Amino acid sequence: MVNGTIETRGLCHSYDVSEDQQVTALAGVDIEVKRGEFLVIIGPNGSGKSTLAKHFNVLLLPDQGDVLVFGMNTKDPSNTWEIRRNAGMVFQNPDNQIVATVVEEDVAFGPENLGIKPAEIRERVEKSLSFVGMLPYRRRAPHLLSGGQKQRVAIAGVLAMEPQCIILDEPTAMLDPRGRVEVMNTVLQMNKESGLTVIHITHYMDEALYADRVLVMDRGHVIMEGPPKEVFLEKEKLLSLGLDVPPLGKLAAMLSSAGVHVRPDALTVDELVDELCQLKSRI
Amino acid sequence: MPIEVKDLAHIYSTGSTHQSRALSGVSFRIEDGEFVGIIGPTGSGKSTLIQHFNGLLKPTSGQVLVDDRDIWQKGMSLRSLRQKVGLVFQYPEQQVFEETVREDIAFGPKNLGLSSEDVAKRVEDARKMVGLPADLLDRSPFELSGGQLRRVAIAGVVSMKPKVLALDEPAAGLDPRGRDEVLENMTKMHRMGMTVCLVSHNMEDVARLCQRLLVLSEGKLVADGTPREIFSRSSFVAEVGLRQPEVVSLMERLRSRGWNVRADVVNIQEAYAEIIRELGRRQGS
Repeated sequence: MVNGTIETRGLCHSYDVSEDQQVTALAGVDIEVKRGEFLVIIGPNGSGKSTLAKHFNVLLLPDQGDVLVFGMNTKDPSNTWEIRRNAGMVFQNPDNQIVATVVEEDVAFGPENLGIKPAEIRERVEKSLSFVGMLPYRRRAPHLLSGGQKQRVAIAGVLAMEPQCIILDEPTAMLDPRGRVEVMNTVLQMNKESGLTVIHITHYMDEALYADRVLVMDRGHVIMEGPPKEVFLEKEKLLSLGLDVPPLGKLAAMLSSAGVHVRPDALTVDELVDELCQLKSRI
Repeated sequence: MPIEVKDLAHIYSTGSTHQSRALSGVSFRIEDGEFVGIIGPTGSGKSTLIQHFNGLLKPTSGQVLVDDRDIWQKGMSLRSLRQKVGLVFQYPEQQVFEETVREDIAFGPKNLGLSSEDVAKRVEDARKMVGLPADLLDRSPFELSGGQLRRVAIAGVVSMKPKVLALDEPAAGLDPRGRDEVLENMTKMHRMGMTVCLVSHNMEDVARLCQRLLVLSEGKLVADGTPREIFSRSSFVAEVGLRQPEVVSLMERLRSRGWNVRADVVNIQEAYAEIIRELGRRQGS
C-alpha cells in the first residue's frame, strides 16, 4: 500500500478571513517529493509553506487539485490514518505538542493509538528515544526539559509511529543555538541513517544547506527549486523576495565581486576556508 | 535613565515544591543610550531578568534601581515606571487586539489620558519609528504580514515614549526581511537616544548590533563585555551553550591554517576587510 512519492497536483487552498473575503494560500502547487529525499522549503511569511505542509498530513484538504501521499489520496477519508502514520508532523512550538506528563508516555501516545501491543510499544519507545538521544530522560517531566530536548521528544513521538516521512514546520524557530544544533543533527541523522523522507520548513537559510533540494515559495506558488548551491547563487532574486543567503554566502559574494576568486557557492566555514587557503597558496 | 541591578535573585513559587531559582546574584548597570544584548541558553533567566526592569516581577532579594532609585521603595509609582521602561514580549502580535492598526497603537497613550491630538501625534511618531506605511493604519491588524504585525505590536509600546526599551526575541519566527526590518528599528531607536536591551538567540544579530553583551547561564551573569571580547572566547561560548557567529569561526580556522588575520571580528564587513588585507599583504611581499 505504501509506495510512490509525495505529490501535489494543481493544489489550491484558500482561507476565509471574513464572510466575504478569502485569501489564497496555495495557488496551484505541483511538487513531487522523492523517497528518502531531504527537502527544505523556504519562503517569506505568508507564502504558503505551512499550509502546504498541513496538506501532507491531512490537516487540510485541497480546495482544488490533489495530494497523494505514498500513493494515497488525502481526499479519501479511509486513507487518513494510514497517511498520518506514514507522514508524521513536528511543529514550531515545543510546548504545544507534548501531551503527557512523563517523556516516555508522551512518545508512547502515538503507537498506543494505533493499537499496538504493549511489548512492542515499549520497544519502539526505547528505540525512538535512544535515536534522538533522550533515553536517559525517559522518566522525566517534559515541561522541565529545554526547548531542544522537547523538540527531540516530539520527534521521537513521530518516530515511534514508524513513519516513512517526517514533516517539520519551523522546528528550530523557538530554540537557542544549542537546541537548534541538537534538532538539526537529529533531523539529518533520520534522513541519512534511517533513510526517512524529510520535509523541513525553515526561515534559517543555513538549515537549507543540508538539503538535497530546496523549494522556494512565494504567494502560494513554488517559484524556485534546486540544490542549495544553485538556489543560493540567485542572491538578488532571494533578496527581492525578502529572503536571504546564508551569512558566509554573503561574504563569498563580496570577496568574489572584489576580484578574490572564491567559488560564490562556498557557503560553509569548511568550504570557504578550503577555497581561501587554496587561493592563498597560489599567490 | 540608567538601570541598575544589584545582587538580584528571583525564585519562582517560593516555598512550594515547585520552587525554582531563576536568577541569583546578578549585578550590572546599564547607562543611558546603551544598546545591550542579553544572551544565554533557554532557561538561563533572560526573560525573568528583563521583567524586573519595569516591575512586572519583584526581586526575591536584591534591588532594581531605575534613575538610581529602588523601584520597590515606598512612594515609587510602577505605573509611571512602566511608561518609561517599555517591554516587548515574545510574539507580541498575539496581544494585538484592536480592530485597526491605529486603534491598537493608540491604546496605551489613550489610557494615559492624553488629548486626542496628542494621541494622534504619538501614533504618528510611533508609526514612523517602526517604519510602517501610513496607509496601513486603517487596516485590520489581521490583514498584515507577520513582520508588519510584529512592528504594530512594537509601535504600541513605542507610543508610550519609553526611555528604555527591552525586547524579548523581537525577530523570532520572522522571515529574513521581517527580521531585518525589526532589527533596523532597534538601531534607529537607539540612534534617537533610546536605551535598547535586546534578548536574542541569534548570535549574528547581537554581534552586529549590540555594543555590550550580558551573558546569562543558569540564572547567573557569567560575562559582561563587548561582542568582540565575548565571542573571541570560543571555549567559554561553547561551555555556556552558545555559539560564535560563523564569521568568527571562519577567522579562527583561517588563523589555525597560518593566516595572519584577527579573529575578533563581529560582522561580515570586518571579516571581508581582514581577508582582503591578508591577501593583499601576501601579494605585495
